[in-house]
Parts: sequence; C-alpha cells; structure tokens
Amino acid sequence: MKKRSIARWGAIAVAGAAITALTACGAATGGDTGNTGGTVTYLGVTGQWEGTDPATVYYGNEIASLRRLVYRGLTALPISDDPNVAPVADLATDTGTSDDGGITWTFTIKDGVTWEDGTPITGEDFIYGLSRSFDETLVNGTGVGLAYFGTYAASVVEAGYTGPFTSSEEAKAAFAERFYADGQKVTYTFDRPWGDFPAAAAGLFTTDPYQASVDDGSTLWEINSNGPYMMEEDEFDSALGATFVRNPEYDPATDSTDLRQALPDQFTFELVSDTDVLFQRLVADAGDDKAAFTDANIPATFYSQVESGAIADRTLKSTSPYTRFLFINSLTVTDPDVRRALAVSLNKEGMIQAYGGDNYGEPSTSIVSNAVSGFEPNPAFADDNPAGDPAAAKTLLAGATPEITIGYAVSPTNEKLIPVIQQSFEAAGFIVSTYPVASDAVPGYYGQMARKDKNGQKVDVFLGGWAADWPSMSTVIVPILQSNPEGAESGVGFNYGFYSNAEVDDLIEQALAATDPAEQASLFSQADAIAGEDGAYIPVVQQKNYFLYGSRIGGFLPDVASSFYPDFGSIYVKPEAAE
Amino acid sequence: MFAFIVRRILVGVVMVVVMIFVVFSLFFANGNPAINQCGRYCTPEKLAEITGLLGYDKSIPEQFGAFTAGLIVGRDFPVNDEYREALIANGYENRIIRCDAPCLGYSQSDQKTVNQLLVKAAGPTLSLAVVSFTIWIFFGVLIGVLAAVFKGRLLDRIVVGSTLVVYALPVFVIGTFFLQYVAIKWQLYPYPRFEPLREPADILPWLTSIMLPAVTLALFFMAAYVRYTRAFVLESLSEDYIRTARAKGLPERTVLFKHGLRSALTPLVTLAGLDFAGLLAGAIITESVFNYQGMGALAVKANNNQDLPVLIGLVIVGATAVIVMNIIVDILYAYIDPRVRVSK
Repeated sequence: MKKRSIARWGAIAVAGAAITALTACGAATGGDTGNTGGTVTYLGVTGQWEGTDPATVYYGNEIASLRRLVYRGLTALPISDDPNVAPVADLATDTGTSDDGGITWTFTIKDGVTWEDGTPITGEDFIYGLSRSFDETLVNGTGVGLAYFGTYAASVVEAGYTGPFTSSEEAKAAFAERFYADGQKVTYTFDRPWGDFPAAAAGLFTTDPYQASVDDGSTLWEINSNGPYMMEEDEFDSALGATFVRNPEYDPATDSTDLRQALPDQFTFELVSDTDVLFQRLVADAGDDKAAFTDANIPATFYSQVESGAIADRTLKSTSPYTRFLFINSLTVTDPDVRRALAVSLNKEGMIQAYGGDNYGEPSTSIVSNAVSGFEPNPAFADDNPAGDPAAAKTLLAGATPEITIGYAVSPTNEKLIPVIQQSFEAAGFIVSTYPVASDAVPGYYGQMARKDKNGQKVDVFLGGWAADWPSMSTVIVPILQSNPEGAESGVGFNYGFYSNAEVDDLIEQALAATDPAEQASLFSQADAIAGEDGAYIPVVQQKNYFLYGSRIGGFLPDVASSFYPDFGSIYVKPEAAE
Repeated sequence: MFAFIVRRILVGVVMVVVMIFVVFSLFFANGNPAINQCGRYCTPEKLAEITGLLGYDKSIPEQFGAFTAGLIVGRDFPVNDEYREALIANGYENRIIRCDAPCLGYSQSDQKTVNQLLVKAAGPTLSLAVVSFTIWIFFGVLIGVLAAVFKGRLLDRIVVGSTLVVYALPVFVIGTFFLQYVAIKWQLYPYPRFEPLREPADILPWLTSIMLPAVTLALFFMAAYVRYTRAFVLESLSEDYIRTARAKGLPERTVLFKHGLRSALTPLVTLAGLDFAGLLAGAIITESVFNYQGMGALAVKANNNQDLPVLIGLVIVGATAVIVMNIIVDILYAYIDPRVRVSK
C-alpha cells in the first residue's frame, strides 16, 4: 500500500477566524532574521512555573519558550503570523507518515541531532520520553498528555501501564507492542485514528525524547537540552529563574530558522515577586530591561501608563487561545429550555468589565477560541444579546422560577464576577444561591466540580475556562463535550458538566476519524452547534493578550506556534541606535 | 557556670523534642503531602491513589515514627516500601532519594529533601539577618543613647518623633518604596538581586545586593531599639549609683558608658537575642517583597503549596533557633549579670 502523509493539520482556511491584527515590532518570520547577539531577559512572576521536566510542563507559555530554546520534538509549529500555520518536521525528518488513516504513525529521527552532552538522540529516547509521561507521580498531576493517550491508546492504560519505573512486565509488553523504536525509526500505534497526532507532538512535550542516562529521582527542575540553548545552572529555580546560554552541541544544520532563529547569545529568565514589579520595570525601560519582555498581560492598573506616548509603541494586542465560559451541570439542569434561559439571560459585557474590561477580552460565542484553526462562531449563541436578555429568558422559562446554585473558586476576580452572574439570572426569574470553594479546599475547585455529585454539593452552574492544547478543535470539543464513560464518578477530560448527547458523540467520532482537516473542523463545528442549541454551556469571553516589552526587543510576535504568547524563536536584541 | 550551661542545654533539647512531636501531629493530623502530586484537577480518587503510592496513607504514629527515625538515621523516598521495591525491580534504584540524618522530610512539590531546601534558603536569610541586625543594633543603640543624653532637647524630640513614624510604617510599605521607587523608578540604587557570599571577593556585591532589604528590615527594628535604649539608659542614669559616680567626680563619658550603658545592655541583650532568632526563621514580608528566597519566602511558598514537610522543617528549624538563642541569651545574661548565676 502506498504510504501517504496526512500531517497537514492546521492548514485549514479559517472562515471567520477573528485573529486580531498583529502589528509586531519587526517580527522576523520565515527566515527573515534580526540582529544576532546580546541578552534577552524574560520576566515572569515567581512560583508560576510548575516544573521543567518535559513530562510535567503543561502551560502554553512554558511550552512556547522551552520548545524554542531547549526542547525540540518530533514536529514543531513554525514562527509565523499566519493563523493557518501547519506543523513541520523538527527532530524527525518529516511530519510523520501513516498508511492506515492515522492509527499507525512512523517517524524517522534525523542524523546529527544530539543532547547537550553530545550524545546522539535515538529513536529509543523518544520511546523512553513517551513512557515517562504515563507516570502519574512524575507528571505532577497535570497529565495532559496522559489524558490524550488514555483516549487514543486506551489499551495501554487499561493494561495497567504506569510508566517505566513501576509497571508490571505485562503492562510493559502492552506499551512496547504499541510504541517502539527500530534504530532511528519510531512507530506509534493507536487504538483509534489520531489524525492530528503530528500537531499534538508539536503542541505537547508528551512525545518528546528523554535521555534515560540522566533520569534520576529529582528531574522536576532539570533541563537536558537538545536545542540551541542550554541551562547554565544545574536546575531551574522556580522562584528566581535560570540563564540559558548557547548549546555548543547544537547543530543549526539540523534545524530550521522557520522554527528557531536563535539570535540572542543568552536568554535570562528572571522571576520577580509580583506582576506590579514586573511591569514597573518594563515601564521604566532602563538598562538591561530595555531588552526585556514578558508573557504576562498588562494589568488594568497600568493601562493609563501604557496607552499613550512613546510607551504605547512598545505594546501589542493579540488574540488568545483561552476562552471563559460557564459549565451547566446537565445532571441537575435537565430542561434544555432552562439551560437556554440561563445562556440568554447572562450579562457577558458586565462579566468582562469585572474581568478587567475590553483589554481582557470580548463576548464569545463558543468554547472554542478564535485562535484555533477551523473556528466558527457557534450559531446557537451568535444572536444572544451580550448584555443579557432577561425578557427572552423569562419567555423560555414560561413563568417557572428554578433554583440555581453557582459554583466558583474564591478569588478577587470571581468575587466581582459572581454578583454580575447572580443579577443576570435573578432578572430572568431564577432563584440564585452560590457555592464558593476556598483556595485551600481539598479537593480543590476543579477537583470538586469534576465529581459527578459535585462533592455532595448542589451545583448547577460553575465557572470554567479552557485553551486548546494544540491549535485544533479536537483539543476543545472532545474534552468538554464528549460524553463521559458510563459509570464515571468524575468527569473525563474536562466534561465536568456531564453533558451527554449521542448526536454530538457521533459527530465527534466522525471528526476524529476524518483524515481531511477541513472536514474534521466542519464536523466539530456541527457538534458544537448542537451542544449550543442543547444548552451544554454558556460562552462568556474570548480572551485577548495585551503585552508590553522593552525598547530594544525585536521580533516580538505572539503567534499560533506559541499559543499566542511571544515566540522565543524570533526575538532578538535591537542595537542601541535602532531604539 | 558550667552546670548552669548544661542545665540550660538539657532543657532546650527536651523543648525541641516536644516541639517536634506537637508540630508533626498538628500538621499531619489535618494534611496530606500527596496533594502536591495530584495537580489542580485532583479528584478524591486520584488523591487516594497517589496518597497510597507515596505512602502517606499510614497512621500518624507510624508516620511520626518514620519521621523520627529519619532524624536519627536518615530515610529513603518515596516512603512507600512497595514503590521503592518496584523501582529496584525495574532497574530504577537511582530514582530513590536518600535523605541523610537528620532528615527533615521530602518535598513532593519540589522533588527535594527538606534539608536541601533549608540549606538553600539559609543563605539569603542569614545574610539578611546578620546585616540588618548589625545596622539596627549599631544605629539603634547609638541614636538611643544620644536621645537619652540629650533628653528633652531638640535632637531627642526629632529622634523620638521620627522613630514613632518609622515604627508605625509597615515593613511592606518601606520595602515596596525602596524597590519600586528607589531601585526601579528613580534608579538610585541597583535593582536588588541576592548575590551569595562565597569568598572575600564577593563581599562588596553581596553587601550591595542585601542592603535595600536589610535596611528595610533594620529600620523597623531600629526604631524600636532607639526607644528601648533611650528608656533603659534614662532609667539607669536615674539610679542612685550613677549619682554616686558623678559625686565621686567621674567624667561623664565614664559614667555613661561604664555604668549607665552596661546596666541598660542587660535587657537589650535579651531582646536582641530573641529578635535575631526570629529573623533566622525568615523575614517573610521583606523576603517576599524583594523576592529573596530565604526561609520566609520558603514558608510562603510551602504554605501556598500545602507542602507540609517543608512547613514542619521550617517550624522545627525556626523554633530550634529561638531555643538556641534563648540559651545563648541566658548565658550572656549570666555573664553580664552575676546575680543570675547565683540565683540559678
């Protein structure tokens, strides 16, 4: 049978995708590079990183930075302001081949790629890296990769495979049967088609290689680089950061400037006590901070300082893969008219003001972000009044006054949001109460909301948010809208509302089996539309990014590849004269 | 004197042992370190699974026994015997973490022994404590003596008024002012990043890096010590023996420093010893404002992460520091005031 590549995911026409105009400061893409040399300082807030072991890293900004500096994968997304960008080969020679519709994927690892100690990267390193991602204790609880592998390679999980350290021989055999290396050739065999696996490999570190010889019991903050930079210190300091210098073993010939321009000689990750200090420094723009940037959004308290004058030239707005929405507990709010009434009555504009105003985001019409390939506004919500329509909600309720309890995690922002939600629902005739979950509660907020019985509490509506793990609708629609397995006491994926609709499930199955990206996106959009009509959730806000950077930063580009955080692959230090 | 010291040390050891038991029981009775491995989407089922895997499902007496044994002979982590056996059986014994005695535990969230975390945090905390202590003792006592000598005059009024203002200012206000205005906005002083002191050549960068947080902390204590010193010196200067000394014709300098100040020092030593010991447990606010990763910042982080082993380690170290400083103060007190030795 002739092999054919179906790894063209992401290259989808984004009909109606409202990608905010990117006016990057001389962002260099597609081989158009800036100045070489200098030190770029990345400013972050202490304590926000949860680890640097590739099995642990989960957050988009962490993946974005490490992917460009130290962790190369099978594939990667290129630096590009094109919202329809597709993954390209990174450590592999191509984006993978599959001759059975996405069940079996084969990659060949490039010659000449090495770890920072000069050891060649082998196919076995990829298998070992994947195996570590099955260890619950190693992934520090996040386990996003494991969640996907639990879906596409359920037989391995069901065989009791818990990673290389503790699994039984039978479980190891089940894993080895599915995932194996033959020299530089690596094969992944799934239980069901995984059409956008190459995009998943680019967007997560789950399939990244790991050098077994450096693996010990304290890898959480270690970084063993195979990229253009290497960490100077032995460990990343979760409170202070780290310094990344050039990796002498890195061979640019094995890489592409479409992925990594690697222009600065050094990247300094400096973590500071809080966001105020961080932005005070960027506003002051003095000394080394002229070549500093952050991936944190400008706080509302700084808007007046950055929105006019020369400093405004150092700001940039972009869209974000994050959306905020309200889950509806489908087990307690069973009447679709009541669910729709909740959605129709909600004052999204009031909530956005509570979140921080227009710079925070705009009213949304789906759980899918407009930054995701294939995004389409959900027609079920497209005509809803973003300020809320209590009259229309009352019509849907037909005189009923249902009792609704709103669940939320206690935080300063949520304390401002809840009154807005409460007033919206009460204006429509609901009798509203709240269930606040303290920040130190055990289980925590999501732990309780994940439960089918909501930890014994009556919770009908609760706050949530999500971002695509890679720029595909599959990473949003599947975890949130696919029915939980029968008998599940906790939501699988992120379906904490326990929404279940056979028609939606059927469309999801069709989409996952689809080999044509456009067809897949269309099927997911149909599933989303049905769920919207069904009142599965209430979309609230499409988040935006609002960045500030130093006057000597060039190539500042929040793009798809970096989950709309600044792309470390294109950043450079502008010469003094070019300020 | 020797018996006095031995007696004090023995009492201190008993206090440390009792304190360890109380702290461990209080923390572990209502907490579970496995929560750190469970992530933010932690469900009760997942927590139970990880708790068992890591061995935190044992009874409190069992865990306390293991903890105490670790203090004496060290421990291996993960604490679950079956988990360690599985690691060995699969050829991954290098993933077993050895924590040598006195082992204070293991932080699941940092994948480090508590001892490692405390040693790392000790540098900034000790630096901050020593430098700020030196500043506040030197200037606090000096200005306090001057205020006492010039009692009721302009200098005294200025000192008394300004110390009241400084004492009333919260530490985070002073620290934030130094950081956000002096260092960042006006750039009058280098942005403070802690530089460790490893060799003599490091002294200047170390001092430069520590000065802003040290002054922040010292100002608060200094204001208090100016007022203490002024009050103690004034009190001692009003004693009969001072009048006698003056009547004998001794120079005022001798009266002040040899007779007046020495008497005033006795209560100051007690206060200073305890305040310094408190700082060894970490200056939580100052370290947080300047992002200095000492004991205080470690306590904040451990509290946020519900990292019980680290919190226990910090309480044990902090309380031990207070007990040890108490013993030192008792000895100094006995040295300065022989009546203490005599009365036992």
